[in-house]
Amino acid sequence: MLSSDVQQALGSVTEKLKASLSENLHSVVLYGSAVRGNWVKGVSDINLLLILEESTPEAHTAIADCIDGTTSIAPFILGCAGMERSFQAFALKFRSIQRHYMLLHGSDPFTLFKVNDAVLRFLCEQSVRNMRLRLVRAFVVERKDTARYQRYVLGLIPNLMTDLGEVLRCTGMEIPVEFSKRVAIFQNTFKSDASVLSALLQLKQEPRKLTATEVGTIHAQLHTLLNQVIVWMESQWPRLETPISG
Amino acid sequence: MATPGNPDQRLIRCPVCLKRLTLSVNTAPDETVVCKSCSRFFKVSNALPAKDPLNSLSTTEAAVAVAQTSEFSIVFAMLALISAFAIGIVGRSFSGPEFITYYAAAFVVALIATTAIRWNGNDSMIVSVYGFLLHEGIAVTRLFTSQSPEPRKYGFLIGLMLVGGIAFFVRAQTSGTGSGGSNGWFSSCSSSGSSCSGGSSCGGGSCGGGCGGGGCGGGGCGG
Ligand SMILES: [Zn+2]
Repeated sequence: MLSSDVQQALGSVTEKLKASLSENLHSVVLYGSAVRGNWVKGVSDINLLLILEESTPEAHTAIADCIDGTTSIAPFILGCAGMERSFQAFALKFRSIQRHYMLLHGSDPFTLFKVNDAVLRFLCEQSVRNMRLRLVRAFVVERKDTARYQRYVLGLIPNLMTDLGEVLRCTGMEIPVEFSKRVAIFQNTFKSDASVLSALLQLKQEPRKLTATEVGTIHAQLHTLLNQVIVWMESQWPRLETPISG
Repeated sequence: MATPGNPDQRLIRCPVCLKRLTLSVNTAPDETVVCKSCSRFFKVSNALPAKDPLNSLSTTEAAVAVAQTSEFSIVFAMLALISAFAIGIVGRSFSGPEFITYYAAAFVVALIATTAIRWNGNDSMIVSVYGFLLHEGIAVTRLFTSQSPEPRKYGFLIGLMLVGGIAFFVRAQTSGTGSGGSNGWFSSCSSSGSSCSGGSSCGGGSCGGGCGGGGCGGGGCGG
């Protein structure tokens, strides 16, 4: 059941999109916290996957006009052309969306979605390694601007919880929908203190300003955790020679 | 691609709504046209080619909406100014307070009309500009044609011109979110309050710096 705030925002945006894009609008899919039921007003985005028959700059302008003024809409826009390849390239994200989504308009894009395990493992590892790179860069470049670093790290949390969940799902584990319930599983499996994740989830629910010392501590804890996840993947999964050939 | 049966027209598709449109073969590629179906403007060079040009003529004709040139928007702007002049002339003999009431009523009507047009999927700057021209045109007409015998005091009128003029360019923010926070009003021209808010990621967020592959935007989906 969607919250009334989400319903209100979605109703008007979907109608505007349909009116403006007409037959160019292939699918509108709602995903993320709004569907999972942990959407927080003023904090969470409303994630919309928009698939266009023709993804043109003019259509992008029309979409921008439709969502202008509805600040929490975070659109993920793709064209139908090359959809199968996009599914492969963003397999992690699509697999995650596929678990909890709501088709608001058009045809269901996930009927065609298939991805093999080797590709998934490769993408998981790439994503976690990428996250570690970004984490280090954010700390080095932005640690003095604590507000900016805080925005970054809070934005990182959904991706982190999702990707670590996907890493474990690659091994066939069942992962709970609720982020807070995943922390203990991560801690036990990766053999690393994951309490920083609980602290960041709490910070997202009840925002306050981080101090410079806290920024340093968060960075150290997240970096240690990601290092440990990478060590775990290296030990569990064979190195991939040709990831896309499967 | 010429229209079957009419060599003076060619078929294109609107790059926004994909409706098939006919266009004079003489229309230059850099001309701006408006799609009659979705009312969005686009350059002829950005139009999509029509698929299956020899497909059933009836389908084409059903979707025929003769694209019009950018002169169309100039015509609308002229209409707004002419309407403003006419409304101003009608009220030229009104006393000051009468005119202010009359002007405020015209403002409310114009604002409702432009808002309705915008909410109908045409939320473009040009609609706001039409409303603005109408609103300012009425006051300017008053300034130059007033027949009111009272001494001329235009402070309130000019105040309404300014406040009302700005009103055409503000957009309602329906739900407060993210770092932008609370509900409120903000200009559609400003970048504040855009959808990259709340610390949720916008394609890897401001920290970038990753290498390839990673972000496809929109934060985690948490499944
Ligand atoms: Zn159109």
